[in-house]
Amino acid sequence: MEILKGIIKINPNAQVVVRGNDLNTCEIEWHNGTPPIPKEKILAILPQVEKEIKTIQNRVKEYGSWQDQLDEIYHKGIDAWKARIASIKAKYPKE
Amino acid sequence: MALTKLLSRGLGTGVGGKVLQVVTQFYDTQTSINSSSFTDTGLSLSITPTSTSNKVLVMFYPSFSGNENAYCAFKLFRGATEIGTTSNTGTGIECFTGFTIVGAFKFSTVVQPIVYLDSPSTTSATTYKLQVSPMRTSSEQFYLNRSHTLGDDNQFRTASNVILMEIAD
Repeated sequence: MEILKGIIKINPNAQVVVRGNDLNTCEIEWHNGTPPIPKEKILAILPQVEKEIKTIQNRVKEYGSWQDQLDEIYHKGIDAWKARIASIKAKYPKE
Repeated sequence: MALTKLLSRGLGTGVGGKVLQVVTQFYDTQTSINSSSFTDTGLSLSITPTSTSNKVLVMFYPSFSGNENAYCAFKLFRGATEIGTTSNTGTGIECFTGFTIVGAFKFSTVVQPIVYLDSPSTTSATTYKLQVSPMRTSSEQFYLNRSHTLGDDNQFRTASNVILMEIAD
């Protein structure tokens, strides 16, 4: 579970420590005056966080390494590269 | 050499420098830290020296990752006393060691050895622990025992270790 990422999505300024990876059993320490967020609220946002992570990872896999992308630009031109990147972004939309 | 002999007259010839006891901690709790305060990592272990003159070889091996530009500063403690730190002053945060996460490191886990030969001068139970601060001027996260992202099997779930050895004087 990406508990910390869920908390930061709810409160980008949260200062917090999460010990454990199961929301039901983990210990959450709220630091430096950060108001606690109920676990139910964190649980509700986790599917969205995990979907976003999956989207980014799918995109990164299909982009290829930056070395391969530079090689692609050299051989096929920047417009061809941009078209391929755009098709990947469309294939894996963020929302 | 029998322990009774050690206790009766101190160490015999050739015993100095020998390992008298070893305690270990295997720690695999995934801990995510987003705090500007130095925070307990959960790596913590106690040992009870048998003589005030003996030393303790302290070895922490945290396995960690972080968001890009997480500036992970580690501090080592004996009880409430920070040990093994620098005496140098000036710009830069004082700590035992530091590690900055850059680029694809966030998909990795790294092990940063933290090794120190301590002289606790006690025969009481003595606890060593490791603290970390990943952010002071940035807002980036630190992850113990896992990659920054756990999206698939190209990332890592790992474990950390602590070893304490009492070394004869």
